Amino acid sequence: MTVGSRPMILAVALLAVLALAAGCGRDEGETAVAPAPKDPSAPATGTLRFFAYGDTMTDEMLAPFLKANPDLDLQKASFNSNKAAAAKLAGGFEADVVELCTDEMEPILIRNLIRPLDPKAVKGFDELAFSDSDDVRDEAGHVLFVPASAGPHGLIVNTDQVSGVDSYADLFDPQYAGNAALESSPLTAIGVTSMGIGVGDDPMDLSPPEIDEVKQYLLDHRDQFRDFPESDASMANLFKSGEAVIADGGRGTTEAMIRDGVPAEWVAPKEGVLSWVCGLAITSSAENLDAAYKLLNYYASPEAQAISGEQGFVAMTPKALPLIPPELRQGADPSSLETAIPETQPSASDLYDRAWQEVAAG
Amino acid sequence: MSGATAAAGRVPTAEQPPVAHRRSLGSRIRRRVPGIASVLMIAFAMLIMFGPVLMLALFSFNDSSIISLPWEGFTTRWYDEAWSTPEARDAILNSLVVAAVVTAGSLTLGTLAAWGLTRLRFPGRGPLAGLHGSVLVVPWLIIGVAGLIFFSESGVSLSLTTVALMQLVVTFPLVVAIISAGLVRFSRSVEEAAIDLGASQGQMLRYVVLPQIAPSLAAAAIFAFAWSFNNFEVSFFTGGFEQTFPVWVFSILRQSENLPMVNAVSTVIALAQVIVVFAGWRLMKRLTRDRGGDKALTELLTGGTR
Repeated sequence: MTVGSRPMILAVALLAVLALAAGCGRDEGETAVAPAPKDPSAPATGTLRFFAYGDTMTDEMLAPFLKANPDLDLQKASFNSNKAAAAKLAGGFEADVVELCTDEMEPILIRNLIRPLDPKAVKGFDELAFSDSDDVRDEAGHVLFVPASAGPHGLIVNTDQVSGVDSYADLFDPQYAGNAALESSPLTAIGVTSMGIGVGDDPMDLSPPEIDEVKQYLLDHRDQFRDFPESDASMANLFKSGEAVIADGGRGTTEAMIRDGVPAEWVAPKEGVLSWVCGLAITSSAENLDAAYKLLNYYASPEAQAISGEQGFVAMTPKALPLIPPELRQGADPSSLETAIPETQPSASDLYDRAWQEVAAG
Repeated sequence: MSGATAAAGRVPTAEQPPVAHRRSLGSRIRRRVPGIASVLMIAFAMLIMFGPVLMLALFSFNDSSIISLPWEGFTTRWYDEAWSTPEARDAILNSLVVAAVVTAGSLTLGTLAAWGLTRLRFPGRGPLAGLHGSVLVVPWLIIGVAGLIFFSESGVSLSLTTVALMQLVVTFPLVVAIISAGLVRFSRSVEEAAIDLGASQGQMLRYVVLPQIAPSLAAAAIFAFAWSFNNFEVSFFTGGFEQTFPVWVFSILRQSENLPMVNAVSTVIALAQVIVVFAGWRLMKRLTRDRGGDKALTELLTGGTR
């Protein structure tokens, strides 16, 4: 359910700012594995500084945590992208826990703004979706973050107009010419197309010639697409107005459409489902490690994941399902993520960006 | 044709209709084209400027989380939802407090700086004026990060105070520019005349200068408040764990279902800003004792620089 790519100019500006902050900001902090609390059962005390997306730390989500830790002073600050978060942290802003998303966390990792954590100190870590993925670990195998939310990305179809769809290749079916849409995100647009036309083995790590082939295919079929919506709100608009009948997109976006009366269905394509993955990490400047682990444990718990599931996200642990109202269980079921390909920043991400710019510009 | 003949020719007779009546349709249309074109251009400009805001307001009452036609029915639930969201209320309150402080601070400092730059003669006045203006062309993103690094290196904790201080840095030059323009337009000889006629410095400022620069002050106050309230970049980087309204909006827009609530809050804020401009206009009318409402409003919107 993430909003699509930000305007390129903002991304470039943020990268420039990140460079400035990196040049002038504070020295790097602690990079060793954060030690586990000596008494995990003791309530957290002191001050805990939490830096995340606004919808990750709603009052509803944090109420049980604060109730269980009444002597803890929880301070919250929000950001709108990991690039912005990295720039702020690199500039000297201090927090204990920060939210990361696998498709945009590179600026935070490069600057060593987080420190590895001890997965044994997080109850039920191994049961969380993506906990065994390489994307939550560094090269040495240390766990970088606790997966806390995710959302599968496949196909959205208008059930009144489209049936029998099971492949990303259907986005390019001539019968939907002018009524297809592709989310304006370099990573998913290039990745989805590569899977649809069978180019490359890993949609998140295509080689330069493969990216070029995908780009050329998209340019040759550009008229197939009504629009390249920048956000899931724009995508919903296209479906509601009937301008689009098939598109790539998230299950959460589809469910929001259905709740609004749009005849839509989310389809898991046979080539595989992509998924954005976000989680919580301990920063290298963290001071209250015990409270940080307490928060990580809370977000990994079935109780917190049930609240997340009720808010429209996928619950990261199956143990949360019994706590979720029956009508919401299907959407929150983490089994849909078992074979999902995490959306990660490719090694040639600049080529993805440039290729998509050419396609979007026509 | 002599003058008498010409005059006679303009007198309507039974056989000869008045000149205006004899004008061809094409001629009449040609005469009206500039007026019609003006109206169309103004209507087009108004549509471009206010269309998106009106759409935003309209859809804040639509009973759908998707901002699109068809209309799904009237509702006020997005306003209820916004009102019952503590983060929204806190963020708006924080922005109002910061904007009020920034407006008062930048008006005070800006007026003093503008007075010095336009009324005093001293070496380096030109470069100093340029230095004031230079901040206006530096991107707010850079100023925000510079502020963050400055406060971080100084050991100052980030808070609403640091947000207000850095917003003062970006807003103050705008106030200086607007008030300087008003002061330059106002002849210094009038101040000298007031002194020659026996007015004290205080009376001269109260009865001569203030009424003259009131439009500039009002315009500067409105712009300063709006710049501060709407600022994201500086607020994001120099803010701590209390967030302002734009920072809160950006952080929740990841989920499209939050859009209608943001629309509702934004509609209220847009309405409040219209009320602020209207109140500024009324205040300026009182200060200048100007009964010409249109003139007062125009001066307010142009900062008294027209």
